[in-house]
Amino acid sequence: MPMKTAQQYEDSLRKLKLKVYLQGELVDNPVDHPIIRPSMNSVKMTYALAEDPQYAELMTATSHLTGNKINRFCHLHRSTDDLVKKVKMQRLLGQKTAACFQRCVGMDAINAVDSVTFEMDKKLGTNYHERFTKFLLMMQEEDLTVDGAMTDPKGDRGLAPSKQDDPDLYVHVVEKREDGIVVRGAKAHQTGAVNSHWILIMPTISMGKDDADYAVSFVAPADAEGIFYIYGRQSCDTRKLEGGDIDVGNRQFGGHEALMVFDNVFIPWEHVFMCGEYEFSGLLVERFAGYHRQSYGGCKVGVGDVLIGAAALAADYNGAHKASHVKDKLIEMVHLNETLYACGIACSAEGYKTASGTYLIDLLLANVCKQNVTRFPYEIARLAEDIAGGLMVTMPSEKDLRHPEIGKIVEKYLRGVAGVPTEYRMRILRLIENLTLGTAAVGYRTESMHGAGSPQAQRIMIARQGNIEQKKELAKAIAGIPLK
Amino acid sequence: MTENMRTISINFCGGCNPRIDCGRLAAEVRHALDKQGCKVLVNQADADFVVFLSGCTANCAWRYGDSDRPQAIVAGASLDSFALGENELAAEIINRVSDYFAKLENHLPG
Ligand SMILES: Cc1cc2nc3c(=O)[nH]c(=O)nc-3n(C[C@H](O)[C@H](O)[C@H](O)COP(=O)(O)OP(=O)(O)OC[C@H]3O[C@@H](n4cnc5c(N)ncnc54)[C@H](O)[C@@H]3O)c2cc1C
Ligand code: SF4
Repeated sequence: MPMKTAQQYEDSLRKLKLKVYLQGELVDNPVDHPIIRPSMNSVKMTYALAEDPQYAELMTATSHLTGNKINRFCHLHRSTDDLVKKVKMQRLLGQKTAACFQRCVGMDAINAVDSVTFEMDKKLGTNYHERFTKFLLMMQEEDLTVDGAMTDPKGDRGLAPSKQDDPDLYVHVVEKREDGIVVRGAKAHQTGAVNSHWILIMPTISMGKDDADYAVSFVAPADAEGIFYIYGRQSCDTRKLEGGDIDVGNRQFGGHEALMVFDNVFIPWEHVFMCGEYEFSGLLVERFAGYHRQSYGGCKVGVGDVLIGAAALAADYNGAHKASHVKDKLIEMVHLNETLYACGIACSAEGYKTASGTYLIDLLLANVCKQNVTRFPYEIARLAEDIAGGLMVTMPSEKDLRHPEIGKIVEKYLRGVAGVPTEYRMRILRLIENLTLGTAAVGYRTESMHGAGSPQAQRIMIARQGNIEQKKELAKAIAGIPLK
Repeated sequence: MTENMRTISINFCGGCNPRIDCGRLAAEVRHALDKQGCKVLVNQADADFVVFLSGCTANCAWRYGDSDRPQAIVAGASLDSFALGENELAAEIINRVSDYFAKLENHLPG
């Protein structure tokens, strides 16, 4: 069964024995928990759209291992065309969910681990790539959602993993056995962890010899013995417990992050893809981060499309839509959003084949893409807030609107243009609030800043790839200065 | 030039945004192969061996090139998808070409 239906995905999650803490309590049934459920719906959409022939071209691909039709989230990119389709798929899903649909981190992780294990084996004579390929086959055949886990808590950022006061601040090997390894530590900010079947762990930084125990990559079932999750809080999250559907802004979809803890977890050798080869940790980080920086040129743009649409509707509903500055602001939002998309497409179109046959994006352009993502969504959000007006943050609640007496007052005084129900206006303003300040702002704003690496991480890569020396030579040639 | 002189073509990408010095690399390769008695051509798809030489990983020489001849692909600082230092490229390309012709002469599978 190479592709699960959306319902089969939900059912498969119910079978997992995940240990999840949320606001200090162990969650009995994560799938139906009102705070978690919208994020599950977002991942479920990655299965639902793959079932729909209308979206098959973007949502599905042909496995290079089996020739079967598979969900693109389980696919290794075999061409630049695949890289471009990945970005388009992410834009589509951003449009359909207006949230983080979480499944990309695993897709980016498998693509990075594939090429790095291949090159590691060629150089060191290890057999990680074969193990990885077996896992990939299972992932494709069972249409699994895999969490890509890179970021460690990191403690003192000025110290290497092996120099931290507490050795567990980076995931590390505490025991090597004949049949496998035992690992301890944690991964922070894990997108979609609680909606995943498996997790794929990677080191978070380039490491040296002293950090060899920390240079570890492996897969584990999400409910493996010793793994537990502490669910990340989002602003306005408890609105989901109130029962209404206006104040949440986006009643159906959301995203989530969690702290993932490894309390002496046993990993059999067949699931280990790096163990001590510290000299390859940097390459793995660079490639995973590169793919994920490309991803944002799709997903954030899709969410941006919804936000621009919401701002335009807010203007329609309050009668300001004909004002030239409003039109101009909407144009600017589109310009910024499409610039992000252009970067996502460009780094894909300029992608290239690695030794394993899997295609990698152009790393300079992917880093430029993400650097823009650390800025433009903030400006798009600022313009959306400008157009929305102050009511977006001062508006009474849905309960007030539904109240038998004051409801009429809310209805009367919150009305914009005649003919548009007040409720519509409230819904659109709540959606803008959700994306710019509420639960979805985690994905649209702060994740745009830090997800796939904080801005400085891209600047380091841009400095490394920017080829300033060649540019100097170009200038010398034009200015009549002798060349090197 | 003798009848059975080996021909090697260096096929360039276009050179818009190179991250390695393609001109210098091509000159080094040409010089070494000339000395080995090969005939070095440029931008020919039907030489005995083709070196695709792209200045960056976009790999336009190969991507838009059309040749089914035995080949080596340089795309930025990499040879056949393995990362190398820019200074190592010329020697590795020459090894690759020499190995291929040596195998051919010994009738070994390429
Ligand atoms: C919503 C969200 C979702 C995410 N999802 C995932 C996921 O699914 N999987 C995953 O693995 N990760 C995920 N991440 C993690 C993301 O990659 C990290 O947030 C990012 O790498 C920054 O790390 P940090 O949050 O620990 O920030 P910090 O390391 O605390 O950085 C804060 C600031 O300090 C600076 N800084 C840090 N260290 C140094 C140093 N040594 N020298 C100089 N300056 C320094 C940074 O540049 C930054 O400006 C997610 C993050 C967010 C916000
Ligand atoms: S932030 Fe974007 S790329 Fe990352 S998992 Fe969420 S939707 Fe995918």
